[in-house]
Amino acid sequence: MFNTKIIKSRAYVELRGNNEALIEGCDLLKSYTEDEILLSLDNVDLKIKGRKLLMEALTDDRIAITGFIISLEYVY
Amino acid sequence: MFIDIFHFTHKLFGYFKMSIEDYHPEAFINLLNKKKLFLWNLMPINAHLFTFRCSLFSAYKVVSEAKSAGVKLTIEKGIGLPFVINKYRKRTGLMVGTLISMLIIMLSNLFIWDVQIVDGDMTPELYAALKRVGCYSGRYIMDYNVTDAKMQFLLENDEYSFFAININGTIAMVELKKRVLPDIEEYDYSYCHIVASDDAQIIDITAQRGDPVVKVGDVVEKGQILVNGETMDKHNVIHPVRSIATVNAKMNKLIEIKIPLKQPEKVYTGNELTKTRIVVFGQQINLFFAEFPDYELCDVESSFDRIKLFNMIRLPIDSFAEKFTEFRIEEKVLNEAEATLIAEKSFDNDIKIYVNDGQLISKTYTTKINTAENCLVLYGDITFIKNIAVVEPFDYVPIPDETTSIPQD
Repeated sequence: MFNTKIIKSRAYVELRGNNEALIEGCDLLKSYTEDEILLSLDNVDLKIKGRKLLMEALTDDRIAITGFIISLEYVY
Repeated sequence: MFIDIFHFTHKLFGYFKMSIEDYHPEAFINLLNKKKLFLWNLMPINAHLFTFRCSLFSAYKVVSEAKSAGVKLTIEKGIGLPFVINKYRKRTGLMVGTLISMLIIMLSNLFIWDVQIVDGDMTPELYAALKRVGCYSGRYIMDYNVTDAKMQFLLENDEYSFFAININGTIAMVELKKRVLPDIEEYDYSYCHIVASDDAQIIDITAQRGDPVVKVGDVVEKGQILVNGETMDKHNVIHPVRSIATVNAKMNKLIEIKIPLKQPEKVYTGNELTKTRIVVFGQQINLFFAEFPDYELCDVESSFDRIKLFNMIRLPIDSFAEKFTEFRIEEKVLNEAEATLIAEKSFDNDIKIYVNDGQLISKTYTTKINTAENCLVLYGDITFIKNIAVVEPFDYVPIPDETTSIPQD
């Protein structure tokens, strides 16, 4: 695991298959529905599209998402 | 595995399932996140209603944050062990029973439940030896010094060269190795002749050391010297040696076997009695009153069993059972065929004893009923070849040389 306090300028996104995603360096949860999650990273937004998306865990700057993930999109 | 431990920890310490209702619930979630309050299973019901879970320890902070932020927060339910205990706190019997059972489980982990031998079986002798060094079911584990036990066991039991006790949970695994001594034959340096063990006719003779004094075809008597241990060189000087020789000889034996026609026979009466004793944590409990039954004559069969719950979970209970079967002795009258059969078996056994490592050449026998003694008599005649060489030590006294004079002071 990278320490995001040290590497502040980069977020870390890990995708396991199409049903599990781990995002580190997340600043803000902008919007959350079952089909779409919008997260604010350091200097970009990340849009996760899917079905029955569930935030399994939320800590300081890490989010674990499960569900049927269709796409990950960076929104500038 | 991680998920299992994660869920188990939450269930053990308890957590709340909460819901928040706000125009923009994401903002409150971000607020809790910034306050480092751990949430999980965040799920949107609709755009303004989210459900999530938080631990019992952070629930107070979550509620106070919701109050200060003016967010409508509802605690839907509490899940986990603390809530179960709280629910049944007024059922004293249930609580006491649970506590006692937990205490029993905790205490039972402090004792040895079973002793198992690695790559071997438990024998009564080994069971007694292990008990002497404190390795038995019911032994308190905490003050058990396995190093001392190991030393004591090895000192008391010479036949073992290695002994180790590994206590895995409540099971003592005992590892043993038998002492294997090197096969060293001590060489005897004493002087000896080779003599005949029986009356026989020499078939062949091979002397590795010593002078043969008989030849093939000679008939020798028991005790007669076959190979002389006092060898003589060309200067007629005697050199004593330890004779080594193989002397194969042919011999005859007459065998007479008497089989009485009235034989005692064991007849079972059908009366049986089983006496069981159980050993619980090393304490013996007899499940009977009298030690022995009232039978005059009986067979005893002992058995040992380890009791298992549902044939799966080993309990610290050993069961020892002794089965007594009554019988009486009756006299059985044999007919000639039966007596002959027994006599033939006995004759074959005798042949094995006489011939031993030798070679049987011929055997003949006749049977006859002796009415005076009421028995069947078998007269057998066997011819066989065997090694008749046996050693006979002798004391050698050297003859003083007349030419050598010893100076006298």
